[in-house]
Amino acid sequence: LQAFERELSTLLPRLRRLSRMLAGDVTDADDLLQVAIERALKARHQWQPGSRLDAWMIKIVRNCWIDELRSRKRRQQTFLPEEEGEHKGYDGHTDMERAAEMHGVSRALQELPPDQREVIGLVVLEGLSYREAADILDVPIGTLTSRLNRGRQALTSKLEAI
Amino acid sequence: MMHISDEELMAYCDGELNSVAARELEQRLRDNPTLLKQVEVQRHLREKLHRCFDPVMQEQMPRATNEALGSRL
Repeated sequence: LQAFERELSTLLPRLRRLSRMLAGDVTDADDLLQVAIERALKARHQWQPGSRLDAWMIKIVRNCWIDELRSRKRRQQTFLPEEEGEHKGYDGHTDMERAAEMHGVSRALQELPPDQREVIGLVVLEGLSYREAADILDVPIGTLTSRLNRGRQALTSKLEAI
Repeated sequence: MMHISDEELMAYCDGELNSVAARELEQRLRDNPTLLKQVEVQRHLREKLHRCFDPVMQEQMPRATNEALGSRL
């Protein structure tokens, strides 16, 4: 049983990176990671030892993120949308140039539709194969690659426009 | 010269082609500056994402996260 926690803890930095990319905001991303870990610990008996824990965890992070997006949408139906807040997308440890780039990339990613943002996260950032990413997202490969290509084009042109 | 589709080019950029297919595509790309440029753009995009998000992996984990796991170790 303890092997599960140990293996999971080695994955944390990677899962946190993906969370940051998906959620954009530092606090939201860490909340997302926390929720995902709690969900994973509860569902641990569903994980089959010997199968890839990274893919299993990435799927949980992604599903928690989608849940959060949905509940946020519900909240926005009852409350006025928040003013566009300060971007807290980086922690101030980096130099100005890095910070500016980070800000631009983060913003461009947030402007992408979620289904494009997540495929870019899984394939381009995480380096998963098309097959692995399609399995995690539960979509056919053709759907995955078309979202990927649309997302790439949109992101590239947004970043060029900066 | 055989046409190179967007899908094929992206599959190449994502490392989805086996080594034989990748070498073969590289041959076909050689005289195609437009497509070479696209490959370059995608390489830069990947590098940019890593430059932005890889440092997250060095940050100290929030205490709550460590505790969620640590309390069970």
